[in-house]
Amino acid sequence: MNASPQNAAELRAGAEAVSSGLPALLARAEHLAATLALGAHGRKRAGQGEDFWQYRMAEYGDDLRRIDWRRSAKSDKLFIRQKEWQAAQSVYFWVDPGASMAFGDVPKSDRAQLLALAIAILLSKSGERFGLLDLPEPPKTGETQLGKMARAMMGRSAVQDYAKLVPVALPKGSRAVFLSDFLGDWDGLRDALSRVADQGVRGVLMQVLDPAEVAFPFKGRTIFESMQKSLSFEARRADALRQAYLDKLAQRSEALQALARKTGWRFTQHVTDKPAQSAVLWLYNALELG
Amino acid sequence: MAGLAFLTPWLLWGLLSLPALYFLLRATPPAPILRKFPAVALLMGLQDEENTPDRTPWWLLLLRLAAIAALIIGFAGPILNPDDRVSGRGPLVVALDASWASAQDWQRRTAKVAEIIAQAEQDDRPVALIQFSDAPKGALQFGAAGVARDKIAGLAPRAWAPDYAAWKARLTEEDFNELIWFSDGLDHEGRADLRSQIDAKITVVQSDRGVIGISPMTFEDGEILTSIKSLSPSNSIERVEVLGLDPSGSLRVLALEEVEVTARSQDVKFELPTELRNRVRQVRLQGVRSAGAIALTDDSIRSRKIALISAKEAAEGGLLLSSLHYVREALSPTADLIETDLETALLANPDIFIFADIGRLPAIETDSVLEWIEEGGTLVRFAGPRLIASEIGQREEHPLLPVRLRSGGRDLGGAMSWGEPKKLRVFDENSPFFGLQVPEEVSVASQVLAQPDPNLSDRVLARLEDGTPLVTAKDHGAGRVVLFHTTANAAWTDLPLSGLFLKMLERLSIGSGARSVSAEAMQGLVWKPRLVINGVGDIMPADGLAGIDGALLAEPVLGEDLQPGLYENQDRAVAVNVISGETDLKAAQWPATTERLSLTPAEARDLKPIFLSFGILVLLIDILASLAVSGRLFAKIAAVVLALNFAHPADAQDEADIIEAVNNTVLAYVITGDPRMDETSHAGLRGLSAELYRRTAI
Repeated sequence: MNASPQNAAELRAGAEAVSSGLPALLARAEHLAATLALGAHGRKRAGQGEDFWQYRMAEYGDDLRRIDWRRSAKSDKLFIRQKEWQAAQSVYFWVDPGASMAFGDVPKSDRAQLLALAIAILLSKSGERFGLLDLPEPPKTGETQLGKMARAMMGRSAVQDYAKLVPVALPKGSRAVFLSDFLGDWDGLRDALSRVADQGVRGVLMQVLDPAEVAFPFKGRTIFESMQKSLSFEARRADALRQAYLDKLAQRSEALQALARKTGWRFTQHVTDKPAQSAVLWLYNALELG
Repeated sequence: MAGLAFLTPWLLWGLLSLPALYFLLRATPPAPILRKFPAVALLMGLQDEENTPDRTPWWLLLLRLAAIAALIIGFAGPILNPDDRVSGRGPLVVALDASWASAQDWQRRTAKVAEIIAQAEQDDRPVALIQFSDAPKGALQFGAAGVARDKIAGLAPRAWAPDYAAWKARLTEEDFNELIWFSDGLDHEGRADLRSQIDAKITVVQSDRGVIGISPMTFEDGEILTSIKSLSPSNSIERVEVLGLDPSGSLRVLALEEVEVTARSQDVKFELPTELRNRVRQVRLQGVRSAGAIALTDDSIRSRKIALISAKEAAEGGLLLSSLHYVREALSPTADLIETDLETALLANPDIFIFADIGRLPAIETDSVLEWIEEGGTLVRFAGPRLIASEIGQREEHPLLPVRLRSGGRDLGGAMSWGEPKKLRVFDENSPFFGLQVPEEVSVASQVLAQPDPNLSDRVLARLEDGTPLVTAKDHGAGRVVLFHTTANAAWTDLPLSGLFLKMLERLSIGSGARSVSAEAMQGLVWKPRLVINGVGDIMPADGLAGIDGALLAEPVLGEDLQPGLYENQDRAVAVNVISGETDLKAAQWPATTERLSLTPAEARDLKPIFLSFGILVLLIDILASLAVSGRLFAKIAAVVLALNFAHPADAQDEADIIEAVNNTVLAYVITGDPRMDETSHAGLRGLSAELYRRTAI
């Protein structure tokens, strides 16, 4: 499981393994049984759907066909039977394609891809639509879409140290999952995230970090280089920088947290030396596909 | 002079660079580690709190400085205990005492001479090489160093002392600029004179080892005495060996003794059976090669030559009736017996004459015997019918008899006499026989009687029980005359049949001592050298050496003409040794101002490899230390440890367990090591598991 997947099929298999290990039953018992049936979610409002929502008095202009005669017959008024608006959820994934994600004994990108695909598999099982944010195709569900997504994630080769998140117009009400180390330029990141959130999209931010990035176990004179060597920094005494670095990392996390709180998103940090299952569980919960 | 020298001392200037290196190394931080680190973006704005770089730790600095210093010193070619160098200008005299005292470390001396000459050759100095123990031949001759070097092989220690007096006339200060004096460490006669003449230009080379020698053996009170003369600065343990001829005639060690030499003259005693003592030829210090460490012996410790003289037997008598039979039997194992006529026996110069029943001698023989006694001979006479018949010493004291005799003898217990044969009285304290047990059965039946002169009692050595003298003696010159007032055979007494007789004879002959050839006896004779001792203590046949006048031999001053060795005249031998019993070795004294060179430099040791390997070792340590400082050492070690861990086969099982645990719903507990707690956990979980299985779909 720790070994880097070599191709899309392996990644898929790994993701299947992870998601199969999940307490899928539990998830289904709590969420899926009621809300994920048929892949449709009640929107707590009248609309197109299959479940009864409410009766309301017929008003002028209502289509005659929509009058519920059986109910109307019980009284003098005409009633229209409304159904709850139901629609399958669209979940957009953004898995950071930057070179920075390739760091670590367990590369962060591997973990991020694994997590994304594991969630996707769960979504697929419950009939939700999903897709990658930076792919032109609309989100779909099903095995084919899983394969496509895995291939797309594997097929990318990093060109930049820190991938730029390009805000895309997302349908209102859809969900987004952002898996990244969020170590890139903060202003760009904030703008992009804000813009996505402004579209009425709710989602999850998961900061995937390597243990080394959390602990900063370095000492002595060290030259730190980004993965593509676009940035380098010479620390004369790395151990002296530790606290400053940790502060800065915490600051970044807090900023992400604050951003998430403002937009009603959920944020967490996942370190790659922790099990993937807990992260998948958290993600699944946080998505609240209800 | 012990110390440290460098082959290329100028390289040591490199040490001056160490302080500069110190600041350089201090200022240069350890090489940075290049790390891939995505979070570098977060670091970008950060300021190093420390303005100065991470300093090289002081101990690493020290390590490196030590390494560099060791390398610099190493390449400068350090040598421990380098040779002293003689550096000077102008003519150089290399003079060796070359006496027996310097023979012991002769090799080192010549090696040092060669070294000095080689140095002189480099400096292009004329050199004269002389040996004080050889007589000077003409003026000092300076030559090229190469010529002097050829002469080194011709140097040899002599068995005699240096002849300073002769050299004093030849050595004048104007002739040379420097004199290197290889002293033998002994203060020989004339040294101070010679030294004061050329004091300013002397450099002394002297061995640290003291001089040691051994004096010739003497024989006293039944023991062989010799003494070790030592000038050693410290006590030493020497092995003294006494050598002699074995029955096949070859020299072998007869006695060996280990002696700790603590005094300047350390006595050594050997107790040898007479048979062995007669064979002794020399004593030497084992392992010491020097003429002083060997001492030849002449006749002085040999057992005595005893001449037995008896009246011519008229008839062929029985052997047991022979007047000398018992004496012969008693003495022959321990002494050389001479049985011939008196005249011939005198020529053999015996130590003891034994006259058995000899009457009056011709006047000329009486005189020569008397002369012989005066020189230290012992004459032992036995009485008998002839002595009585000759009537000598009856009216007046005869020079060859200790006491006056009464005419006629005395018969005791015979057929015609009253009384019993008389027994012997216990010997009194003044008697040489004191302490000998007198056997009951010994009795005397007939004797000659001494006239009761006033001086009689002083001369009595043994008496019969009635007080009549049995043995009397008187000193004459250096020797003495002893008279047994009875016969040497069993005719008058059964004393010769007893063991007492043997012991009495031994006492007498020991008391007589062995006589070396007196100075007077040497005079006027030419003594032919038979053996000579060379400087290193080898004994060689003295072929081709001229005979020595006895006068020189009487008070020997060793030199080229009189070499130590064994000198013979007819059957008499005189040993001339380097050291005599009275010799007191005196150490040579040099003024404190005199320059000195060490003969025994501690072996020069090239320290270069040590320094270089130390430097390289320190550099190797530095590699590890640098790794440790930059944090890479433990990463490497950790990698190795990890690899080892993964190689562990037991983990395969563990991994399978883990996979199974992850793939299924499994209850688990932590094994705490406390058996009770573990048991409780196990039982509890097992119960829980059963209940879960019963109630749920698990």
